Amino acid sequence: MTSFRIDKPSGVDFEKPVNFTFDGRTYRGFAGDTVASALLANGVHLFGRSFKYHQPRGVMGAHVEEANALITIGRGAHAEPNLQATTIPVTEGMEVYSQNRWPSLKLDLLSINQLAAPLLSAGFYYKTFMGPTKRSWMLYEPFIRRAAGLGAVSTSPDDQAYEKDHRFCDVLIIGGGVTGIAAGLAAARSGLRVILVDDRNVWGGQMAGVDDDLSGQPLDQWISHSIRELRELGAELLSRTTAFGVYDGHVHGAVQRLADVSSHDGVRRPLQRFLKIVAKHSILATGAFENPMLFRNNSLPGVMLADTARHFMDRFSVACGKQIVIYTNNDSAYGAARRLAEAGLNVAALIDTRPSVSAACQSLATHIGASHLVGWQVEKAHGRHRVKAVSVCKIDDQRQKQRISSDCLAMSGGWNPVVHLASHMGMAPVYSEPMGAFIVDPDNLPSHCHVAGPVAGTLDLPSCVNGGFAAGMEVARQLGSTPPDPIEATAMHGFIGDWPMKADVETLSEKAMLDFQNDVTLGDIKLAVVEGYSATEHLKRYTTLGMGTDQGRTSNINAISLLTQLTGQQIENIRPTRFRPPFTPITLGALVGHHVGDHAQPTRLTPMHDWHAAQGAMMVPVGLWWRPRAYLKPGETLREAYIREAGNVRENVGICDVSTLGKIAVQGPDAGVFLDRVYTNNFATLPVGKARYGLMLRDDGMVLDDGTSWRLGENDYLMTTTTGGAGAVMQHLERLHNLYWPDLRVSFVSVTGQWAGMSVAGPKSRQVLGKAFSGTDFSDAALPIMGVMSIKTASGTILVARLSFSGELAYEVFCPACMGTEIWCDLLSHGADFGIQPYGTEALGALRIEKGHVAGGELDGRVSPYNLRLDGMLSKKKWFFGKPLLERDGLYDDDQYRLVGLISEDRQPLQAGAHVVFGDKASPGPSQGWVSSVTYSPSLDEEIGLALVKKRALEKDTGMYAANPVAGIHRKVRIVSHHFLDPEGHRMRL
Amino acid sequence: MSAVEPMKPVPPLTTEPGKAGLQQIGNNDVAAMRLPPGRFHVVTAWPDSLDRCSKALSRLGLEVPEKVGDAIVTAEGSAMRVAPGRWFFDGLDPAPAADGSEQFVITDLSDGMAMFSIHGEKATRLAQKLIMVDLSGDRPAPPVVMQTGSSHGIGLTMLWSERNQFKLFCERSYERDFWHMLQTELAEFTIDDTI
Repeated sequence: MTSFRIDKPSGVDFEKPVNFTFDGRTYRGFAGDTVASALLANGVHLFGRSFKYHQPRGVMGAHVEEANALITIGRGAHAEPNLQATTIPVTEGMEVYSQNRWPSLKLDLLSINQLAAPLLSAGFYYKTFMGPTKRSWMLYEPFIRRAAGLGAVSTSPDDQAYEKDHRFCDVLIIGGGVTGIAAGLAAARSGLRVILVDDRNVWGGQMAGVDDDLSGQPLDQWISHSIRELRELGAELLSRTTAFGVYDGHVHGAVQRLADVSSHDGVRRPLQRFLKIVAKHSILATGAFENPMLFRNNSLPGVMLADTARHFMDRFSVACGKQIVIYTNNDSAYGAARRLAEAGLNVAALIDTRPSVSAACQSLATHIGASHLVGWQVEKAHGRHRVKAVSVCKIDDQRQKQRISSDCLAMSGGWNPVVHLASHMGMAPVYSEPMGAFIVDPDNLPSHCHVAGPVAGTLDLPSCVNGGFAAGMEVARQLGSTPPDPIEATAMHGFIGDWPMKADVETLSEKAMLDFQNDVTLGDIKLAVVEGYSATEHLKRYTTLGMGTDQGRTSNINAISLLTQLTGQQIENIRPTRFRPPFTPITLGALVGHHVGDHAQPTRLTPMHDWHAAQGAMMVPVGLWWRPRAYLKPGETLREAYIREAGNVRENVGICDVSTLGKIAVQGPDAGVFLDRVYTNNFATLPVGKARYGLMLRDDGMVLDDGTSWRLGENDYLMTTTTGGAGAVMQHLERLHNLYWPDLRVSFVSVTGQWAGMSVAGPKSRQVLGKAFSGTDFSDAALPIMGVMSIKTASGTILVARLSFSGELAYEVFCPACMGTEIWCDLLSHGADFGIQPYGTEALGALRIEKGHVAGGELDGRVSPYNLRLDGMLSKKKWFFGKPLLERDGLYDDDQYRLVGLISEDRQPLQAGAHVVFGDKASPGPSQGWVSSVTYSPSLDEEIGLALVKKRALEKDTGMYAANPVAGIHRKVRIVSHHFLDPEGHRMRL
Repeated sequence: MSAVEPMKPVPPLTTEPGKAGLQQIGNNDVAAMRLPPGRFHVVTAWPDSLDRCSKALSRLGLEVPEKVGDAIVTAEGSAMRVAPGRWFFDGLDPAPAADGSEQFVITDLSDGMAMFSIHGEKATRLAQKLIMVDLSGDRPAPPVVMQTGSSHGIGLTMLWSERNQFKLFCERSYERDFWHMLQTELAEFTIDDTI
């Protein structure tokens, strides 16, 4: 056993040694140790370097309040940085690394930053590095960024497993300390479904391992018996689970750490599980964090919170020092002193800032043989990599001084309830004068939320247990269950008496550290107040106090206390900064789960997908769909491929997979009436066997979507939408029906997946269809433009509509999805004699731009039918949705945009999104519009685009440019009709 | 669209065998199966035609669930009431019930749905991973139907047909992605000591 282990039972199993490394050196711990306890037991007190000044730092807190002992576990893709050494159990072979130091932890050259402290004070980003020129910051920034920061994240893909799950319960109890356990007992005994979560790997919270009794039973026995009873009653107990956030709808986010390192047995075990827990009621039993005291060098290794020293002794049999000094402003530290002394540790002195203390405190100090200095304060801790001595002075006579040797200074500045999760729910904490801290106002909670223990304003053991039980009973009562009999717990000890006396800011060193993680000192707070940042939210942002991963757990209350003294504000009137999720950092892996790589979002495949993939098509995501962009032949570039494909459509015939188009079956006796209301043109009078292009508007008159609707029967329409607009259109139709026209007998069913769709386009398309579906007449008379026919086959009904998006003679062939590949291959086979080739979205786009047909680039939600030159589609005879606001005068004035075509004068490609301007590159002038779609036109051998340009600008007879100032591109353009090709439509009327 | 130099080709998704055939993964505790497409129809009626619609379906021998969320499961298939005026029929064919009365409509989605089943002692736990609907609390006993989004963001109809048996329906284009998700979610249950 090392010299810092105490021979006493604890949570550590000395029969099971565990070897691990820290910065490459091997240490021995035991099962049950955390990294922190194992290193402390080995006499290691230097754990890391601080954020800004690279000061040596050690363990300060017992658990998640730890601000400085941040470590990295693992290497390469599995490295996880910024973990608190106080929360990670050691495992055999674990590799642990310190952070934020170079070249080593002991000799960190960046500690030279301490010399530059005057230049790195609060708000230095806005002051120190602002000159000599305006752009000087850009020179300093890379160096500052490299020097700053904590751990480094791996840039290698993380192949570890993470799980996600859902849980439901009647009551979620957050906090597995004695308060939470008591609440759980009450709820579970009432027959409720209970989930109890705690971020530690042992139950009992801060009381785990404490030698006390509860109602005549040893405390640890009460804890273990209660846990057993909870399990027998069916409660779900989740340890190492952090409830990191509270959200609307009674939803709580929690992450359970199942392991800290990947297993090496070839089995893909999950490391973490992200749980969404929906609870009818919740009980916050989240306990409290101890506050540090303020003095110079209060951040030295070996300076820690008093209960932390007690915790390491009780839980891990670790002596944090051999000569302990306790520094406090309240009674609770006396309990820690008693425990440390009972364990045989030397408590050399008890320094208390209060002018007087109770007889019980005096008696205890005498009993443990500590030098008891009441009305004294610590001026400074001495040491370099660890505290060696403490200088103290009498508060009201600072000529009286002493220097006390110490290798562990345990400080207690009072207790700060963990109110964070209530803050997530929008509840501002309220100040409790007796406690000297902010608590949750129980009268201001939603009825399904409850608080118990310190967050409700109680700190002594019996009150916490009784309060927790009462909260559980209240939940049972509200849910209509019979609550169990109440309890009345008592405890043996309980040094809760006077509460913290706040330090006088005038007596404190400006170098006292407030925010241990972000290196914010008392001097920084004073400076911020002098400069006018005296509101807590401003103070936070200006100094960065509370902005680290610790969210100010050990700094907020001290800062507020100082603020009141510096500004004269009353603490009751100060509102702490708002806490937001996550309560402690959580990994992206846990949030993402399995949704990585190709499955980062759901993917949708067409029925012919495998065929495209087998051909080696270049696939591209279009929303959630994967579509073929082009079918590159060996040696072809994308540009060459789509030029070939588009050219083949114009010359011969091409086939394109259009299965992604949204398809909605609109059925019922009022289907036609409904469509007349949602489209700007007429559909009720559309004959059966015909299709029509329709425009759909929002209520403000802007275009929502376009598409064709086919009348398949008297009460049966098939509506097609754009690929990207399908979901929005479905919502639109349902909303209109449900809210405005529920009397209409019409139904909408998404049939997008039901039909495979293919466009057969080109002058030879008729011949291909004629050959593929022999016996069917596809002549112009039998199937005129916009005609629809159905072909019944043994496998199902095939729909053929004569529609053209490309401007060529074209047909859309829809078949049941299971027939998709068969029909596709059939058409290719029968089309071989006519030069059929598949074409992808790139060629599809080139063709439709040449024709001047609008698509996603133009339908961006900002344009009206007038902008798109589709005002001819607006019925003058009927009302349609969007019509009233479409009639606003402003939509037609000279500053409104009109769709035009552009040709690049210098034959260089245009950029979609470029602005259309009058001026040259040096002085472009205001934007006159924007370029919405671009392509190289194989038919015209020009670089072309579609654009929306102000009507007023079009009336000027001066040149225009397409300007992309971000890319430094400025192209002269010629304005032409947006129908580049065959404006009369002869080609599609063959 | 931009006529720029070609992007690096995006590799297509890996094809998987058994796309439309029976394919089962899992173990004795829980297994998932990818089912072949079958008959699937949507019947929609309106508030004043619900009775007539029910009668027309009954004449076909198709019993119609009474309340939203109810389901009736037979050896031939199942009928599910998913909305006040809408039923799903899986494996059963309501088409002959169409009487030309314009009182209800029938939409054939036999090719439009992908279907999966999960079954076994831990089927409910696996199902709970997929959806944010409470499967463990006070609720009507199976068979029931619910419509929700999976944790992966795919719209699902879930038929809980009996205690340890679920049938899942999603839009066909999501089939491969949903099967992949099922496989990864199920992987946890093949590791005994992580449960």
